[in-house]
Amino acid sequence: MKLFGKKTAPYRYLLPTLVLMIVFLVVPIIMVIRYSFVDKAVVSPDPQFVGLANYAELFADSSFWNAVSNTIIFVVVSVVAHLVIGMIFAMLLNSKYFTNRTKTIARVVYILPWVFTASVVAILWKLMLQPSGIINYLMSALPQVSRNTEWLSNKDLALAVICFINIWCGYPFYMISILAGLQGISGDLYESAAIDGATLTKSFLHITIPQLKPILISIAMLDFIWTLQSFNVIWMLTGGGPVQSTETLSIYIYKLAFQKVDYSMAGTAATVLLVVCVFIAIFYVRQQKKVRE
Amino acid sequence: MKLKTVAKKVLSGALVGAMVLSLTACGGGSSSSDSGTDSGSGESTEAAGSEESSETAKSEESSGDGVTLKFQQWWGAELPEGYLDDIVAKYKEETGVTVELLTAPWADTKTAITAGATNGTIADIISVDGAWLAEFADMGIIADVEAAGVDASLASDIWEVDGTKYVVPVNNFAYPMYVNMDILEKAKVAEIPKTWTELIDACKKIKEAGYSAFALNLGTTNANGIQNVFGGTGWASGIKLKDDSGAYKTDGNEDLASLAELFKTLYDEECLYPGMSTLEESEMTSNFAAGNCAFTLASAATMSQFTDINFEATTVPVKDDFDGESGICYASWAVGISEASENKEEAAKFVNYLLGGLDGTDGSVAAGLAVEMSAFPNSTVAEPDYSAAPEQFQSFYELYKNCYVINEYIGLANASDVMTSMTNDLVLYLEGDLECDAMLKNWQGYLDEAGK
Repeated sequence: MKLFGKKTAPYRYLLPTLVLMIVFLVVPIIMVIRYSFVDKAVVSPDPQFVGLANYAELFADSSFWNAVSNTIIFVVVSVVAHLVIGMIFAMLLNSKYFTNRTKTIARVVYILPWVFTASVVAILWKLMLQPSGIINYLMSALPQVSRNTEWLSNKDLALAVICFINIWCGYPFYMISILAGLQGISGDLYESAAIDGATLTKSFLHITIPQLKPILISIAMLDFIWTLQSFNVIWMLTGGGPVQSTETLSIYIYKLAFQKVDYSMAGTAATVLLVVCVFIAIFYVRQQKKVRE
Repeated sequence: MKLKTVAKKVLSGALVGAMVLSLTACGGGSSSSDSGTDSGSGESTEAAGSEESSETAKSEESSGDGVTLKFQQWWGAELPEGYLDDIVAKYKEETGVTVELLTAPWADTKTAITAGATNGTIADIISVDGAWLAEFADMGIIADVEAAGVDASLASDIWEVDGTKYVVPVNNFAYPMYVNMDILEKAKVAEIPKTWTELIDACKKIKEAGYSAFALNLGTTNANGIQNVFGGTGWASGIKLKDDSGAYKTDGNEDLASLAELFKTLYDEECLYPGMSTLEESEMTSNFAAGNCAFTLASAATMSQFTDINFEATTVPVKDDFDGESGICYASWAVGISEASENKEEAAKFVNYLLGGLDGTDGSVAAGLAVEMSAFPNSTVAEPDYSAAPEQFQSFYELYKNCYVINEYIGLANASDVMTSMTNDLVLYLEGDLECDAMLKNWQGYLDEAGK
């Protein structure tokens, strides 16, 4: 086979991308996995191989399980709420009851939270949720509500508030994706169903949902992975506090690496997170393959 | 062969070539730059291919003896624009040695240094925070400054780990208690409190008048409230984490328990600034600057931010029966020399220059930095002229002279992690979820385990 022959042409075109992926993706991943099997990675010139000791230590760490628990709550609540809210808004925007102008304005307004960067979201909500902020001012009109609620500093409330903020800034992605899917569903299906006497609920359950299923699964999988790795907003709002009540896996890993300077344990936790993400990614790819077929 | 096919082949070949070249340049850039600056692998500067290396080469040509030192610090981000550049420009004029400034905010500097140490791109001179000292020494990042040639007689204090001198403070920043005088007046508090009882009474009055009284930052993004505010209040009354032998002793420490009790009282009386458990130092000072709080402990360097309020800077109130010398919490702008530097001697000369000029008698650089940042020089020859400093700083300076500076977290292994754990326990204690004895016992555990 000639090096510059026809048969090698596709590989030559792929080579730049492959080189980039190896340098910036494969090598760092291998390095992090390697850290998880040695002691004092990075900080020692001669790290010692410790086998699975780091994993044993990680799984025995109550802070790790606290982070896992917070992450599960954060991810599940966020993904489900994103899906429900995104679906509702998408159906509203696809409804025939509103004029095109109203829909356009609503679309712009609804998509705004997604446009903001994490720092803007964090600053915005931090100001609004301050004990002397506008949220407490508005809430004071309600009976039985304290005007001094510390939304982000109360360890019983903080995770719920973080979930709410993440839902707020993440639903537009679902809304736009689902709206695109809804616009692709043929009106004939609904007309036929209506002629057969199907109610709106039945049309939704037996036409809309099955038609949207590939999109819903795809965006849910992507959102699951993104939310699992969510860091910026949480870090800027609470830093994982108060008392680790909003410490998710990504915050836990960051603190291990950059506060405790324990790259071995950080690498171990990161490898665990990587394995979870890889499983979801495999599921996602299979789903995409099914859609194509 | 068709022209189209030839074009495709040429294009693919060119793409691969460009990619290989750019990757080579990326990989080689740091080493060539490093070698040029004598901090990296030590390879030849002739490794061409990067713009940076050619610029370094140019600067070497223009410098007297061809030495370029890299200085990683956060000072440039906090000093007036160009101030630090002027210092290094003057140094180059006088010695021919180029000092390249690598400036990043404080929060990013530690990461930059550890990353640099890992990949061999660490600067020759690095700024070191007290909380990083033990970690850097343990990692072998910093060198013995005295062995490198730093003149110890120029510095009042040099930070040590296990008897080796690693880091030289240039400026010390004391932490006064800032008082918003307008709030005190509105709350009918006649005088700035001097004792804990007076402080509690004043805070109650301030709270009744509808203001926030005392700010305690217990956020854990950068958990330094336990050091600056909690520790600072204790040190003023001689309350320490360590016993007379220098060992950490918090378990059963009655003085520390009384300090915790003071903050518990302030918390229970709703006198602490709301949102304390996620409050960061920067938010605390900006809230004080906005007139939202009556008392706060913060670095003297932040004084310049308080332009719109009527405030005083004073020492922290002491325990009622305390009549000894008060300690004042401090932080430093300190420098170390990286172990990987191939120009340790030149780096040491620059450190000496910062402290005592070229001849060891000119403390104008250290003095100028101190005046500019409302700090106190660590140089033994610097004589800062604070006559143009704010009135509040001058009055605090008079009080400062009767105190001593202290920070028991400097040199503590894993200081950031220990302070985070201690902060979490303090929040639990204040909120009534942890007993004081248990908290102090936990702290003893963190301090004993640190660095093991």
